[in-house]
Order: sequence, then structure tokens, then C-alpha cells
Amino acid sequence: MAAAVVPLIEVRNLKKYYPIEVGMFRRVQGHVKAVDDVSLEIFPGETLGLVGESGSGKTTVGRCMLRAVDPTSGEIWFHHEGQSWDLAQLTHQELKPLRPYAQMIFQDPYSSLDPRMPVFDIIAEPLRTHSLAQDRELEDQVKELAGHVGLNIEHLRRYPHAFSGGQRQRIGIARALATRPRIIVADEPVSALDVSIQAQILNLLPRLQKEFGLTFLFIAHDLSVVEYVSDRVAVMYVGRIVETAATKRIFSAPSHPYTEALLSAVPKTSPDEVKERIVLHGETANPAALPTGCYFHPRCHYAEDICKNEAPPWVEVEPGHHSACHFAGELTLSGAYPKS
Amino acid sequence: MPPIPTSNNMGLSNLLEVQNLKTHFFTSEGIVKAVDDVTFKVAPQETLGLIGESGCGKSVTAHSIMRIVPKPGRILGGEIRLGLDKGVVDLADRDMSGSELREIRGKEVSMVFQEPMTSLSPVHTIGNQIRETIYLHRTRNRREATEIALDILARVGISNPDQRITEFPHQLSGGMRQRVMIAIALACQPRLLIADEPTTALDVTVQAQILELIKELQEQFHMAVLYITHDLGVIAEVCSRVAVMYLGRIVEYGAVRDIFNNPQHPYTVRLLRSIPKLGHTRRGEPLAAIQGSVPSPLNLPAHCGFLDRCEEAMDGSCNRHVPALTRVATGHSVRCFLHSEAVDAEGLELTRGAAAPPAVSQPGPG
Repeated sequence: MAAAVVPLIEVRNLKKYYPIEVGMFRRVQGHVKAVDDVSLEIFPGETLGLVGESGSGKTTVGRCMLRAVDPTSGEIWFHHEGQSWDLAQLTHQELKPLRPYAQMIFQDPYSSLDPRMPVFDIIAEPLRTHSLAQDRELEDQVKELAGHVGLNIEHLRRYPHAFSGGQRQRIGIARALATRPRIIVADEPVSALDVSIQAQILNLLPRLQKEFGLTFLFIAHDLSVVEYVSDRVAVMYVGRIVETAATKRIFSAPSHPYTEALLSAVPKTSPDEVKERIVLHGETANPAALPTGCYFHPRCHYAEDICKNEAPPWVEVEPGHHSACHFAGELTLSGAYPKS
Repeated sequence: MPPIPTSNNMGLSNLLEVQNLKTHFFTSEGIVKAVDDVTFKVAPQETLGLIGESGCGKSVTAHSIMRIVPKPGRILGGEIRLGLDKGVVDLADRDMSGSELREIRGKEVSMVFQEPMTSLSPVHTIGNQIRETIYLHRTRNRREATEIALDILARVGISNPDQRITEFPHQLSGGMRQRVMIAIALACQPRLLIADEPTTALDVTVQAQILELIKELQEQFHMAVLYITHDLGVIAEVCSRVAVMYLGRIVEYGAVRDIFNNPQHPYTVRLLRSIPKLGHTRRGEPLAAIQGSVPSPLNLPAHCGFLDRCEEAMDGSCNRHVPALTRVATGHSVRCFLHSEAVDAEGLELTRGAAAPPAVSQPGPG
């Protein structure tokens, strides 16, 4: 593939600040910088894994991309069939015709489905909202979707409570697929599920990706899951992306100390594995009172004076592999794979 | 029966022996056999992992040992023998008085829960919450208690304990709160710590810190740990032996290496294959998902609980009887008819419940 491939989604300098208001007149005292200057691209047909710890802003990035929350500033370009839109600039009226192209799968299958709506209507709702199908056609489409995700079409008149966690997640996926989207933001789609069920969903998603020609932004904190589903991975730390690379590269040769620490924290896969663990000191930085320079420097084992004073540049370590570290490419960091 | 007053605990080579424990919940919809005939032991200073998916009864097992099973649950039968200096006590003994239980709870056995935010009191300072256990079991003197509290906070890795002791749980981060929970549990230096998913609500980097901490403290305090989790990686990390639970029963039991390298029960085998492993699972290679989902624990069937999801189920045995926990190698037992020729478990098999006739090929005990 040449460099001429147009990304499907192009996020430029995305920021989302939440004001901290105090007092009777709600004076703005400061901002929680949930997303602070994030840029990324997602290419058609790929899965971009977005990882980070709780509070790192990964969910907010996903929601801004769908304009489920309105960004403070930045651009979100959506390129489709030769046309381009900056989703950040559009009004809600203008966005509506574009909504079918982008859908979301949520984490908690217990709270993301309307308990008073039969499953048939849950799946049909996006089709009705966007007037994409009616009557007979609607019914056929819903049944077809249910079949795709492995739901029994006999059970479509039932309500969500009658389904197990794994089946509810399938309902959520069928609903997301209903409008035949180009991109799906999957926000921790398996983390609320039991391991045996998690595998069912992890097997289902790549199959659907092929069948429907989908592009995924896969948000998760479980690194082994991210490694399994992603083509490329972006690592976030307090509102910023600190590293992006192809999955293999980021797991075998990380170039940001935070990525290294994150990989080393993953529990062993077998009791015989020898694992050198980098235990990070302290806590994730508070996004309302950020440290100076590199946000990671108070916890970084390699930090030097420059890290305290200057924000790190965005460096290309190798083609397609970027890192926000003053010493990117200079440090020898260990990856997640055994050395042998 | 009250604890038997003997001079030592020679009656028990293990710290804890749970035998044929049954804890059922009598709900309006039927009887939920949350824990049904569970048998395991914990040796002094070892770490036993109890693993299973949600609803398998692992937490209820822990609650039974602590005697904090909520209504409508009841311990129906079995023994929970705990070896103490003064002798062996049976925690499943329903005649045990409240004061006898309180002597043990928090002092000999204590527990760390999953959600530090909901298990700490939001209206008491950290200091008061730690001192509460110390007052009960160690000293009534406020100054001494404070000193013990400061010492334990420092040991669990909380910086500025002097200041933290006056703070409330909401002022701490998730990881710090879990450290406080551990400090409370360890304040009286228990012999057995029950850790019920202590890191599930935490981020990986914090989880790594807490796991290291538990290992360190276990050595310092010479205590045994019963570690309850659904995460196989955590098991590989901290445990020496493992009991795999499914639908209220232990289906496999053995050394952690046996379980990971040579699993015998179809459930364990599939479970291990169903998780993507960092650096080992290739993209696009389908994971060995376990078909279906865990059946309702209401009115458990009188056959193997894994029957509907098992690819190796055999007609005539698996769908008729509950298999016995059978020894397949030294210290490795499996509850499955595939292995029922291997008989004679070392005091472990013991599945002679009324609902479950013994395995066909199994000779009588003795």
C-alpha cells in the first residue's frame, strides 16, 4: 500500500477540557484536561487499539470522534467516497445524515440497553431513526443482523433481562451494525464479560469486520486483548497519546517508558514465565493539576532534568512508529515478548 | 461445639481445611446451591488460588469462612477447620457464639474485598478504621493503637502515614484505598488473609503494585493467603496451588504448574485456551471460546454442571451423575468422568452427597 491511502478518520489536535466551577456564580477555577492535544488517523479496514489506564481520556477521544461529546477544539476529519467533513465543525442538524456511518459498542451490556424495549426494537431503532427500512424490509434486516451476531431470531420479542451478558453484548453489536456503519468505536466491549464469554465476542468481532468491511477504534485497558485484535496501537497517558505503532512493534520494541511499564505490569501467562517487572511509583497524574514538562516524568525511571521542564516532541522512531519522549530511540526498553 | 481446648494444633497439619462445605441460598425462586460440596486445604504460609467465573461460588466460599454469608444464605453442612494456637475450631459450627467468632475474625482470619470504595466507611477517618480492629484485638490504649496503625500504613506503602491517618477514604486514589484495606486486614497479623478479587477494580500498573505488596507482606507476616480471582494471569503470578470452581463445585485442584501445563478438566482446558496471551496468541487465530453460558444456579442438575458446554460429554455418565473429585496425580484432582478410572483421592474426593451417587467405577472408601 502506498502512502496515498486516505485515512477514514483523521483527528487533529483534539482537546476536551472540562471546567472546574466553584462557588455560587460557578466561577471557573481551572480545567480538567481530559483530552489534551490528541492527533491520530484510522485507516479504512483497520483496527486501531487505544489503550491507557482509567482516566487517561481514551473513552473521551472515542466519544468526541462520534460527537457524542463536543470537543473543546481540534479537527475531526471524516473522509468517505471522495468527500471530507470536519465533524467538529458541523451542527447537530448537519451531522444527522452522517451518523449512520459511525456507531458505538459500549462496555456494560447491562446498562446500555433499554430494559423496556424488546430486542427487536432495540436493533431496529437506528434503522427507524434514520428511515433506512420499513415494515417487511425492516423485519428482514433485523433478523439478518441477529443471525450475523449469533442471536436466536426466535428470541427477538424478549426483553434484555432475559439474556445473559454475552448475548446482550451481541444485541449491542447488532444494533451498532444496523446502519451499516463504516467505523465502529468499541469502548471496552469485552471487559465486563466473563473470560469464557469474552472469547466468543473476540472471535465474533474480526468476522464481522470482514463481512461488513468495518473499521474499528478499539478502546480497552487489557493489553492482551488489544494485542489480539489490533493492527495498530495508540497508548494514552493523562489525555495525551504517548506512543503509536503497529501492534507487533509496540509490543516488541516500545519506545516510551510508560508503554514499557504498562507492558511489564501485565500478569504472567504461565507460572513458568520469568518476568521482569517495572513497578511504577506513585499514581497517575491528576488531569486537573498536571505536572510540568513531560506528564510522565514524576513516575519515569529514565527521567532527567529536561523531562521536568520541557514537553517532549513527537518523534518518529521508525516508519509508522511515533513516540512522545525526549529520549525516544535512545533508550533500550524491553517489550512484552520473551527475549529468546 | 466450642473450640476443643488442646495444648497445640497438632490435630491439623494445615492451617485451614474446608470439607464438604455446603452454602445454599433459599430464595423465593428456589434453592441456589452457591457452594455445594467444596473441599480444599490451605497450608500455613501458602497461597491457594480460587478461580472461577462470576456466580461460581468463589466469593460465597470466602464469606462462609468468614461467617458473613448474607441472608437468605445458610451454611448447611460441612466443616471449616482452622488450626489455632489453642486448638482446632470449626467455623462452620453453627453453635459458635458471636464473641467466639469475633475473636477469630479480623485477628486470625481477615479479608480484603474487591471494591475499596464501598467496603471502607466514608464517614470515618482512615485512622479510626484501622484502630477499630486494633482496639478489638490488640490494645485499648489509643496511643499504642495509633503507633501500630502508623506502622502498618507505612508497611503497605502509604507515604506520609501521619497525615493520611486523619484523612477520609474519598481523599485517596483507588490504589491507596486498597492499600488501606490491606492495612486494616493485616493490623492484627492474621494467619490467613482472604483476598477477594483485590485488584479487579484497579488499573494494571496499580494491580502490579498491589500483587507485589501482598507477596511481600505474606513473607513478612508468615501468613497464608486464599486468593480469589477470575483472572488466570493473577493466579500464575501469586499462587502455589489452585482450585478451579464451576457452578458451586471445585472441578480441578492442583499445583499451579499442573493446572497451567497439564490441565485435565475440559473446563480448565478451554478456559486456558480462551484467553488471548500476550505474545503467544496470533491475530486472526480464533480463540477456543466455551460455547453457551453458565447455566442458572437455581436447582442445580443432578449431573455434571459443565455438561451442556462440554465437547467431551459422554452419554450415560456425564448426564446422569455428578462426577467425584478424583485424584489423577499427586496433589492433582479432577471432577470429571473422563478421569474417573483414576481413583482414590487423598482424602479429597469425598463426593458422597445424597444427590450425587459416587462415580460408577469408584470403589468404596477405605
